[in-house]
Amino acid sequence: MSNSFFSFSEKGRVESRPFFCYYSGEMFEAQIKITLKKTVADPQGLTVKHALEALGFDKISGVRMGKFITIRIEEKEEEKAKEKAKQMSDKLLANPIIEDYSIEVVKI
Amino acid sequence: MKFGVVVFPGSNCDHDCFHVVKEVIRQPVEYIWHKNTKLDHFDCIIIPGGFSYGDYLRCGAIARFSPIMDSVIKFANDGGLVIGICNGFQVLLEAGLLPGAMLRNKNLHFICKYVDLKVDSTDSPFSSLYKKGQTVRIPIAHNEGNYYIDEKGLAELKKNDQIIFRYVDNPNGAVGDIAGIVNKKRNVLGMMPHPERSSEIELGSEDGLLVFESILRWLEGRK
Repeated sequence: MSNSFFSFSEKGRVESRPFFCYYSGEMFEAQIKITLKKTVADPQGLTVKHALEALGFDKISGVRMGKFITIRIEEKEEEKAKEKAKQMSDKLLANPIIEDYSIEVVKI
Repeated sequence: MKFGVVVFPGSNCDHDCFHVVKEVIRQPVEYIWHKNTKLDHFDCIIIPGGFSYGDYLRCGAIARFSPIMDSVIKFANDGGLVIGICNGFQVLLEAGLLPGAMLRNKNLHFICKYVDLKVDSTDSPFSSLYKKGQTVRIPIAHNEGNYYIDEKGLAELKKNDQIIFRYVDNPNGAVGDIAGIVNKKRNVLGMMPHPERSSEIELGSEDGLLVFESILRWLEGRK
């Protein structure tokens, strides 16, 4: 038994058609790491390095500062969520002239 | 000549720019809220200093996507004069109207002081009344004024005579001592120093006034 809007499963439970469905995507979290390019001087990183050395942490190098951004994305597949995060990074989150970014997507 | 001063949430040099245009060079001027998009009746657009959107993410990065910016880009592409001062310069860089990007000052300090600049090129609507090589005193007030461009880009700027102002004593680590540049078409200027804060002798220097007077002279010549 069915009509144009609802269908009934074998147990008689009403199942709404996609038209009425809440979006049934999964929730992912994109974790976006933005750092200055290797070729760009990072005075903050250098200052932190000096402070660490002053505290006695010797033999350290490559101290770089960056940004970490998390975004929850509702999508059907992980790949699509990652693609969305990439578009966001290219358009707004990172400046390609001075910054690199990397994206991890985890299901939550 | 009609000037427009763009106002973003967080702009704070808009009133200074407005004042100089209205009271010092005595031209009609209007504030333009960043949600407006009509720029047809303006001859020159000023993007003022300040902390648009709290400088969040990167200076100018969010203002760059304000509704008005598409119109500013079109206005510039059609040959209109656009000047971005301090945060305005950062917005123009983010918008891609000028090449390069801004990094934090090398010494990590917010620097607010008068600096000496050398006028590197007088071949622009913004600097034509200066003398080439002249030293001028104009204040800076910024945390991210460390201009960055790669070597190829720097060579390009030099080749095209796009560097308008250079620091005499580089305060922030900017590549090539760059304080102000124009685009290739020479109708868009970005500069970190504040000419609007140095256009009246009561404020300690009027060396910045020639930026506004150069613009006026150029616009009058075009009409």
